Amino acid sequence: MHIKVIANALGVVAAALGAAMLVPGIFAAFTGEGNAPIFLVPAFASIVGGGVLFYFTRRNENTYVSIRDVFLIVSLGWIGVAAIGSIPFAVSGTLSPVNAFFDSMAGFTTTGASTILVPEDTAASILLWRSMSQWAGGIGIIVLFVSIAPIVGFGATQLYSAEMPNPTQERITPRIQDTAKVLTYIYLSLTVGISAALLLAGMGLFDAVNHAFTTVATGGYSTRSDSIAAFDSAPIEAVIIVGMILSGTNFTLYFFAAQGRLRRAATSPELLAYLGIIATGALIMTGSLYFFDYNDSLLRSFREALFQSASLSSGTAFSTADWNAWDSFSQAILMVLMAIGGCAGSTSGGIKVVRIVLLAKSAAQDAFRMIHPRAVTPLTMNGRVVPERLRVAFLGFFFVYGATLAVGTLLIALHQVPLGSAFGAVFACVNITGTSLGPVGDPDFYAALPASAKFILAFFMLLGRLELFTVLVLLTPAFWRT
Amino acid sequence: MRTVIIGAGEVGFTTARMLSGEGHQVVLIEQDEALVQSATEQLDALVIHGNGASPKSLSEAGIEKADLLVASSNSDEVNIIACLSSKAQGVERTVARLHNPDYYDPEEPLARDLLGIDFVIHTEEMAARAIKDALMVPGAINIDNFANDSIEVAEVALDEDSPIVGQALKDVILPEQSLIVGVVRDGEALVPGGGTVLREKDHVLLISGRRRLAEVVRAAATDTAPVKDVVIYGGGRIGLRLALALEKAKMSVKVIERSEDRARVVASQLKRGFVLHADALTEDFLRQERVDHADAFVAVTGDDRANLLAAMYAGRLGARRTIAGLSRGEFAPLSEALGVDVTISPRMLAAEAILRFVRKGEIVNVALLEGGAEIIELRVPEKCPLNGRPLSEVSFPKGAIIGALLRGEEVIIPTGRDSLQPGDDAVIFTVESAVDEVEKLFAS
Repeated sequence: MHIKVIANALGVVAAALGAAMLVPGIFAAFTGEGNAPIFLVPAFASIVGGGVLFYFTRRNENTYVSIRDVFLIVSLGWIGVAAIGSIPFAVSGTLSPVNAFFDSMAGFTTTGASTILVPEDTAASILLWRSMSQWAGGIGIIVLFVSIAPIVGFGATQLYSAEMPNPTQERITPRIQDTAKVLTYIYLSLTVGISAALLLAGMGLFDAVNHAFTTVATGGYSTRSDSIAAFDSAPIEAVIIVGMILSGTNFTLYFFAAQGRLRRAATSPELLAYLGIIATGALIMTGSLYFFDYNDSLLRSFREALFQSASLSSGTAFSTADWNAWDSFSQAILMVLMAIGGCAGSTSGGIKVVRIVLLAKSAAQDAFRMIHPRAVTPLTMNGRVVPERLRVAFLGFFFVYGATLAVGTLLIALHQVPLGSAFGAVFACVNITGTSLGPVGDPDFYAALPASAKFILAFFMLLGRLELFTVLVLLTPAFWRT
Repeated sequence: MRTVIIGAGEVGFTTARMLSGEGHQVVLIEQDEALVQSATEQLDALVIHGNGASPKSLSEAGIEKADLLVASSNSDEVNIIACLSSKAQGVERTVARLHNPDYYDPEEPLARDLLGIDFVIHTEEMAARAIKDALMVPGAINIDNFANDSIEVAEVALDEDSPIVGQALKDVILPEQSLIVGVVRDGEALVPGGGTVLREKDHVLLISGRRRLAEVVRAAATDTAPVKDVVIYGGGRIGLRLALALEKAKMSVKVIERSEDRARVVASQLKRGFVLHADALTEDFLRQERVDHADAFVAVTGDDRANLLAAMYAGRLGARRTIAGLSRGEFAPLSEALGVDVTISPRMLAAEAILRFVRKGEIVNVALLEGGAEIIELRVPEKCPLNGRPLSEVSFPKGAIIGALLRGEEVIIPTGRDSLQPGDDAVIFTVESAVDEVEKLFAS
């Protein structure tokens, strides 16, 4: 553990967060809604505080960053950002401090759960900050999982580490910075592209920017209580569908494409499986919605099914229909899509398609070896052999995923929340969708929870966002042993 | 013509014997003293003890006067260095045997120029292809291609149930445009006449145009059901290549490999086929994996004995066809007694390929058979004494027969009424003693 290194990194994060907070501050100042100080004061405090922290912990040439430092920086970073980011919500009186922290964590983890009851009654600057929290959390996740995780060795994107240029001790930092820069450009381009497309599709500027922020982050905060359904526009839905699918795609692939390796990007088995899952989900639900008489129009069924399939696969959880009223089979499909999630190295949540693909392959091989006990079955992905260590890690992930859901459900049920809702809430938070069935997803549901339950759910959002082990490792004695 | 050959191993030795037999002045360079000794005793060639990559040994061998270098040592690096330095000394043509695909990629011919090699011999590749060819034409134990693959020759081993056993050649009914050009009986090649009666255990050579071969073979062989399930024992260079080639031909492939690490390498490259790791071929294991029901069992480990025994074992259990790769000649005569249907010798394939390259010009193609017989493909020259007269009237060397002609695009299986014309490619079966006579006849 290197306190200086950790403090240094957290200083940078705080300063960056402060800079981001200037945006809603300036917006509030221009629109004259009076909220400017509640953004600008913490923004400046954060910039100055972070800057000072950074300055006094400047690293010299031979500073060594250990893996433990990375894990601690990541978890502390997200918690700290959520805490600072919650200040405007609390100080403006929009939310109580506990709810503010819950919302802020839901924002920066791109979960999208909220305790803001009626967005339409909330100040525009607060809504903008809420959307920005998801947007900022999204870029954080992309940079973390695409440029840092494969090198350090955590998360599902480790699979792609072999395809990134070979890391060496002295070149590791410049490489991370280069990759992060390219990723930021890609993320910005996607944001701008979606905003422009939404404007063209007929959305107002403020709504377009907010929805672009939360689409690219697959967060799902909307400026409307009825989410995308409020616009009732096919073009807008089409833009959001494409935006969600693009945002749930592995950003490593965009990175490859930017390097000119288009073919490699387009033939990624993970991408194909991801698109296949969304398409299959949409088709099954179209049939189910039509057959079980939820909709009498096949076209309308398809429109709603496709939107919801893309929305829950990517973990965005925008909605164009009240899926609580859907038939049970379609609802079940939605939950499965939620659990699978999007691609590794994207802003989406869930188990991640690549893990599902490899777990399925691995299970098929296990069955195969029952018949051919001596068969040698290396796990391959796109022609490369997946190291056995990773196969074991993926199986372990799947166990921990199940265990996390179980423990979370126990903890929430302890608060005498009905069991279905307790599970639903944990499921929604761990899968980073923020919404599942029944009342879970309604701001009233989260708002009514006891404070301790809110903190527990906030912790599970962090767990889900950082792919479980990254946070859980901090709870192991081995981590703290020197 | 002066030829320098590096390495007196199986390939080098065979090549040296063939080339010196054809009048080349052959110099062999070999590092191993025992091999030097045996090569000196058995070959009509100068054998030098030394390192083939060293300029000293090469100049001792008179490399500056040589027209051809054949680098056939077991070391890729030695072969490459020898080729490079020979090229620098003005040797016109170089042939090298390479094992490591890192050095040689057929898709990337640039490597050849860089390494100074005119012709690369890739024995593993050739062996894999030969085995695949044999599996693609069920019933045949060996397939050779001529005239840019438009004429094919299949070798069929006759067993007692074969429809043509006991018949005189003139009574044998074959599909049109096909012919029995030769028979190998008890290791002895002969040109059959109309009265020759075919016997059990004869190997007959059937010639026909491409795509008809399977049908022709069906007339002579008993077991001609297509091969679908193949078990390959040994996932080495030959085994892996073969497995990939068979997968491409839509066969189902199982590879049995002794080393676990190698098994993982092979497994990661196969798409539908799979790899079994086994130290020992127990009966239990073989039955479990249904080797007894396999259409073909191919043993291509690096160990000749293991290959022969495994192939025999699989045959006993019930595998339909058994093929063994034999890198050395010593056990080849045993294969028939052991009940192994086909043996593939990478050594012979390499020698064949070298011969083909060396004789380029007069001779288009050649296949070496058991008993010293050859099938050679020759271009009919302008001044051939046989031109224009019906074949029934010309005197053709005894022990040789014209099996097929390629005239333009047309494949002709000649009868006595046909005649040779300049520019034809003639595919000729000839026993060892008639090779020279045939070549002289067609010399331009």
